[in-house]
Amino acid sequence: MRFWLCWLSALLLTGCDTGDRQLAKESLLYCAEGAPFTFNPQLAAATQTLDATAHQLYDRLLDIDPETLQPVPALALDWHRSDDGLHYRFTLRPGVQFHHTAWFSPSRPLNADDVVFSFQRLIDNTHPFHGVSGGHYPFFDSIGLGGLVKRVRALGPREVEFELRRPDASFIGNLATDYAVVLSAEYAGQLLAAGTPELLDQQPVGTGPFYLAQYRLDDFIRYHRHPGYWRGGVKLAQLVFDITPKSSKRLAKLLTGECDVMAHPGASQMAVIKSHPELVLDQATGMNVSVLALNTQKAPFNDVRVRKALALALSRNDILQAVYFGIGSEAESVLPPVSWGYNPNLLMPLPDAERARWLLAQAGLAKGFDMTLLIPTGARSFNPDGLKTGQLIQRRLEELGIRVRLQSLEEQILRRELMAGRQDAVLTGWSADTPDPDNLLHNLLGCQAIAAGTNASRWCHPLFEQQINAARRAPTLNERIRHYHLAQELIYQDMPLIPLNHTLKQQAYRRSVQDLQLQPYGGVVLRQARKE
Amino acid sequence: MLIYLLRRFNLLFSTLLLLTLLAYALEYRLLHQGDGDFWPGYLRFMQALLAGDFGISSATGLPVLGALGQYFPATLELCLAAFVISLVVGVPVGTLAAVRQGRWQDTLILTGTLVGYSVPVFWLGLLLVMLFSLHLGWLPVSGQLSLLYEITPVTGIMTIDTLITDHPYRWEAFVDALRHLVLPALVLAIVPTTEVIRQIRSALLEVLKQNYIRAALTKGFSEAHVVLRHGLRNALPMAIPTLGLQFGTVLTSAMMTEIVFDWPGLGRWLVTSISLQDYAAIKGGTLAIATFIIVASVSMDILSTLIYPSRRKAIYAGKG
Repeated sequence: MRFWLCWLSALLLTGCDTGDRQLAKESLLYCAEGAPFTFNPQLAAATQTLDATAHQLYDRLLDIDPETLQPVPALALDWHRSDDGLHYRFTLRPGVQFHHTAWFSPSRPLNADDVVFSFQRLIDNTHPFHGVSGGHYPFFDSIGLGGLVKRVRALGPREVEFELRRPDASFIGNLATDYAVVLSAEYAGQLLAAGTPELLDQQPVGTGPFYLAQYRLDDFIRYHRHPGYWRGGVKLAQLVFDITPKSSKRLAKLLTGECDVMAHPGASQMAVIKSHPELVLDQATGMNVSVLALNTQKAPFNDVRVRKALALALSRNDILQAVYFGIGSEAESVLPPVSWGYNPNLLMPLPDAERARWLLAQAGLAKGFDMTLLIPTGARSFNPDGLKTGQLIQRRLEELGIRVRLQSLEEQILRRELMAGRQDAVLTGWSADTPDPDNLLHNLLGCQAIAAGTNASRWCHPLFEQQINAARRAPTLNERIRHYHLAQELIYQDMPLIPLNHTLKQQAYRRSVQDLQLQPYGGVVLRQARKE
Repeated sequence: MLIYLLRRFNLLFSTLLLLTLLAYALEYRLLHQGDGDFWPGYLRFMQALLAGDFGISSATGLPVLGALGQYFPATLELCLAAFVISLVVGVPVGTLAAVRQGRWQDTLILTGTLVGYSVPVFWLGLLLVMLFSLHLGWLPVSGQLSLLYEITPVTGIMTIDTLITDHPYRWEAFVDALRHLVLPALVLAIVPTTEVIRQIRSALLEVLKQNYIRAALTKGFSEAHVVLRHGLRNALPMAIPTLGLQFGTVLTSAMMTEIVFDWPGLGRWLVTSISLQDYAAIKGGTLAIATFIIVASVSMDILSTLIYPSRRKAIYAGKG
């Protein structure tokens, strides 16, 4: 009896120190902040979906080089732009294999049909897959891809041509975003024949470094290595996304080794992470912004005086200190200072309650009003703690007699509300997917982004629209910069949203993890990761 | 005996019927806004329930019944482990308290049970995680099994599934599952353990007053022998039915424990369903839990009557 007791307790204490070391070495446990709500990034708006799917399951025609920030070949070996800027021709890489999964066995490698299928679905309203899974493609809808691309056609098995309606400088950059993934046309055809087209977005098939092996809702995702991956060199045999919404629990798991990598560490946790010898903290300049978006189509926020009063009431420094623990900067514009489109001549007004009160009185609201502020639950890459931010805003606005009711909503429900335009105000933001300023401006404030729910201000300003469209067509960089400066001036004058803060992009992991790249843009890339 | 069984089954079915009526009334009021006929709707609702149709979850698009089958075993595993711990710890400690009645050991144990009974489950859970996981690094923070191991659930009870799988590391997986079970089961065991201690103690004190105990002692048997062979054996039948009623309490605190330890059981699933406004899952989950508690307590009652026929006397007396 005593022997057994000793033996059992020894086993419990030593744990997995023996036979499964090889298994641990070939597996990476990634503690993510939320569950993806689809396995197709085309449909995604939230970072947790992009992190979990975009670079693990799929490839794009082009990638962005993290060093030079220029587009580099991925599935497309090379590309050619016609002189008028209206035709883009891509030559595809030969022999790229799709995943073999329990639900699909591909009969052929990637060809032009797959690329045509993936993009036609987005732009063609009559495409059999366009309306599947809701028919909303937040990113591409908000940048207006359907209006830009006239058609996509296969010129040969490995030649694809995109024909645009007008020249667009941001087009190539947008093809390198996380959302522009290439799906399998063969798989889609099979699903259509079986009458289950929606499975395309739930049981994914891609060409990426990993394929989906197991998913338990809100619990974990298990990916296995794709043996025929065209880039080769995937060291991990399995990649597990452990869905752990609370950042304190993610940190606890990172400390005990139950996680190898932790997504979005909170600012308050930096000191613990830095002090622990087994942990590494990576920080990179992030191109992101957190904003308070006011519904400009709804009273009283349809009055510019009210919006300006709110901007004067808030203290961005309070939020920076309390929520971000000083890691980041106060936002002066929607674009962060690292962006080449940033207008350095514009500065947000300093907090001034007196003037805010005067503006409210001018708008006939001297006694204040009631409003509801929607807050997404959980951490976002641009805001680690929405609720705390909301409370700080609530406190400040109370001084003006504005009674704010905070309402925390799950991502899916929040998006439904935003698309319907029922909100008063919402705490939101954007993490750029490309270095192009267009990515932030178009998604947060473009007219087309209203229907997609990413323009939560529902602000559609003809002059602003004119500027950002002109910037896309502009032949030189200087001219583009000029248009972006003007566009930012219009935001400043009309204040449809109040820029709050920019923060750094951060990632914490255990020292045993190697070759983990923190990308300045887009979702997490784990294909090169390995463990010692 | 037959009358007794009939009465129990009668109680069981009427409670269950009332429960479904309540569930349907809520659904009728909330989802259908009170339009249409109530009773025909209830009939359809009951037909669906009896056919095992709990509806489709709006979060997964899969039948709720399947999710119940997936999450319930994990909750059961946790509850059973807690029950075993509470018996293994509670019976000897309760016996000790009874034997040492009025002395410092008894006072200490009684104070301990009071503290254990009043400690909030989630707070204790966090405290243990801080000590054993973060500070000492002995046990995992949360979950049912390390995600390294790809174990296909068969029974849903991980300590069994890891042993019957053909995974190359099944032994390591089994140890890992045990390590994951330790903290949540300990936390969950706190309340039932205090209850076992108190019940055993009071039942044993009752028995030790009896004449046959005195007789045995005067015969010259040792105190330990008398307490174990005669005392405990007669005290257990008195304690067991009340312990059976603990199952409801355990299942409720299991929900909280599951949230603290991210245990993939019914409780955590219900909370997720509530946050996703998945009505079918909420309805199915609550119905299943309530049904389980009712069935468990009634069968516990019946079982203990079958094992200890002397309990029947009380029932016949009640018949008046």
